Order: sequence, then C-alpha cells, then structure tokens
Amino acid sequence: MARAIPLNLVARLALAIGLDSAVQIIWKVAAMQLPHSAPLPSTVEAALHQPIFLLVAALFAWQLVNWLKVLERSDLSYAQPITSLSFVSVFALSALFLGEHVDAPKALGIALVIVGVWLISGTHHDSRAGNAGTQ
Amino acid sequence: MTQTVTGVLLVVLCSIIEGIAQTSFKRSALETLRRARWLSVGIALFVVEALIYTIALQFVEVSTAFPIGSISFVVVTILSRYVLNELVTGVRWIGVALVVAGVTLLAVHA
Repeated sequence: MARAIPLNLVARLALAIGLDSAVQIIWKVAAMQLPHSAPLPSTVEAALHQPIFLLVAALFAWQLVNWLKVLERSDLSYAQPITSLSFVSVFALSALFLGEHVDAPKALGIALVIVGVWLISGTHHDSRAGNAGTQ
Repeated sequence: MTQTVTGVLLVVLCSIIEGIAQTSFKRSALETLRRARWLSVGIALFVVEALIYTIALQFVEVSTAFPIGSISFVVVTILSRYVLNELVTGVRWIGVALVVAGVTLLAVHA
C-alpha cells in the first residue's frame, strides 16, 4: 500500500503542520488578551491594537502560501487530514506552555489520529496524476 | 445558552466555513484562469472564519476548540469527492474516520 511521496511534498506538509501548531498556540494567547464578551466591533478594534495579532496574520500568510503549494501537488482529501498531526503538537505545546492537562484518554485520541494519518498517507497523493489505484 | 455551548457552536460554524474555503483553495490550484477569483473567495472565507474563531476562543479552551474543528475533515472529504471529483478510497475514508474519532476523544476529555 505504501507509495512514494515526493520529498518536496513531505517537506511542505511538515511545514504546514508546524505553522498550524504555532498559529493555534499564539492565537489562543492573543485571544486571551482581548476584552471578554465585548461587542464585535470592539473585539476587532482591540485585536488590531495587539501586535501579537500581526504575528498571527504573518503566520497565516506564510501558511496560506505554503498550503497552496501543497495543493498544487496533492489531493485536498489527502493533504488536509494529514495536517491533523498538528493536534499532537498542539496538545504537547498546550501542556508545556499553557498548563493544559494531557491524560490517558487524550493520549489514545492522539494515537487514533496518528493511525488515521498513517492510513491516509498510504493512499495515492494525487488522483489526477493518472496512475491512482482503486484500493 | 452557556458560554461553552456558544463557543462550541461557533467552532462548528468555523469548520463548515473551513471546508468551503479549502475547496476554493484547491480550485485555485486547478483552475489557473480563475485562480485569483477562487483565491479571493477562499481568503474572504478564511477572514470570516478567523474572526468567528477568535471570538470562540474566548469561550472555550484551544484544546477543546481545535479538536471540534475536526468536523472540517469530513466536510472537506465530502466536498473533495463530490465537488472536486477526487478519488476518495475506502482506506482514505477509514483514515478520516480514525482522525475524527481521535480528535473527538480529545474533545470529550478536554
């Protein structure tokens, strides 16, 4: 079932996972600095005055450029589930930097995500390439 | 409606928007003549999603919000199959199901 995946695509997917994790963590930190239960315009205005949201925006832009490169080389239904590996890194980073708890059920959930991604990574990465199997 | 329910519903809405935005991004890669149009649609949807998600994160923890976002994997797989005409094999569906099961488990115990 295992198929060769272009090294460039592997690198792009790894970068997508890393950027996704970073955005999630920094976004949470940024959101915590906003006024609680404020009206939408106030929330937007407050966000625009927080430098950390500029960092989030910059990471988003980098993420988007990288993601479009990924989509040029693979199916959306192949690449997008693989980025779920960022769940693993977000939980690790949340535990380390935000003091959030990681217990046995969460570890099982992470294991299921990893097995799911492993199965998806064994399917053909680009069904438009003309040699995709039926599996 | 409690703050947690509000946060969860907002994250679910974000997941649906995410699925549609991702389909637009893939179309921008496929249709070079309409690349700018699809890219604009995807980015516009992302901005709306970002706004809603930022509000949602004030009601729920990131370790709760992020797993609930796994609904977007199902939305994306369905749209990939029926809108983008990708070959979504049985193995890929099983993989997606395991990913969703895993993140649901994470969400339940968040």
